[in-house]
Amino acid sequence: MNTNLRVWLALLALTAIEVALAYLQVPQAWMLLALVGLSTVKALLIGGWFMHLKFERRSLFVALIPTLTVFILLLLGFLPDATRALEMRPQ
Amino acid sequence: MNVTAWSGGTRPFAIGSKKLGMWLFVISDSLTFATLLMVYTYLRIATPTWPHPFAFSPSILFASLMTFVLLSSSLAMVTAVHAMQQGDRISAVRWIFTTAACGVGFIVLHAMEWARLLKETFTEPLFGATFFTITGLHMTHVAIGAIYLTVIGTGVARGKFTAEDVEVSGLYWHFVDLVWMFVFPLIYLMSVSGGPR
Repeated sequence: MNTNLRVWLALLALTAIEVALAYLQVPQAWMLLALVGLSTVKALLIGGWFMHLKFERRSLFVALIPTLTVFILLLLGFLPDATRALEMRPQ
Repeated sequence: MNVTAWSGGTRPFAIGSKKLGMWLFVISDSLTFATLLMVYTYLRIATPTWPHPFAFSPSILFASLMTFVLLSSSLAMVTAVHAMQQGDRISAVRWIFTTAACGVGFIVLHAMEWARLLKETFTEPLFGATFFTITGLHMTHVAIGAIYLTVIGTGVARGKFTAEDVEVSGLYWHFVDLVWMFVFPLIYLMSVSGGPR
């Protein structure tokens, strides 16, 4: 089977898993972690195969992706505050 | 003389300037969407009264169908790029227009979803503000992508544009698809009605 077709099927399967996960009664934080994890795998599949990044020279990957990753990790630093904001609300 | 990549006159990334330009755009646009989605997630967690308006039918079914349409459009785009690299312009044009048609289909489905949600009143106004901003910005990207692909497809049919031009338009299209892979779970699946609170 064509590699791109396999990637497409994998992306559809991961989407189906995400939809099923949304109806599990698990804590919000775990749900968020699972959905973001699966979406990151999907993003890697799209970026690597559909956008051909896997087959480009490594210098392109090194120039682009670490920047984006650090930016997103810095943004994630704000997220724990979201639960703290809830506790700080006046009763 | 020892010539390095930094001496000029060489391509350190081994890609053309158009493709590098599109990659730089993709990364900068990723920062925009990452920030918006982080803002949404922050508000979603910090607000106990956050609405859960997405019932399985029609919202999740619609959004899943939209995901299927976008993923299929990406497969069509990859096929178009491959055909163009093989020099098969007729096949490339066919697949480029298939991709653009999927984009239009996505917009129609999304517009129907918007029309339904615009009639609802939400307990938390921030939901409407963030939901319509993020999905609206994404829909704008899809609309621009559909127009971009139509221009490229028409040009290729007339014998203009190279395989690189098609690949660059493909990069943009896959990026639009990639963004939706985060919008769908973070906005729709995190707020399904009947799901965890």
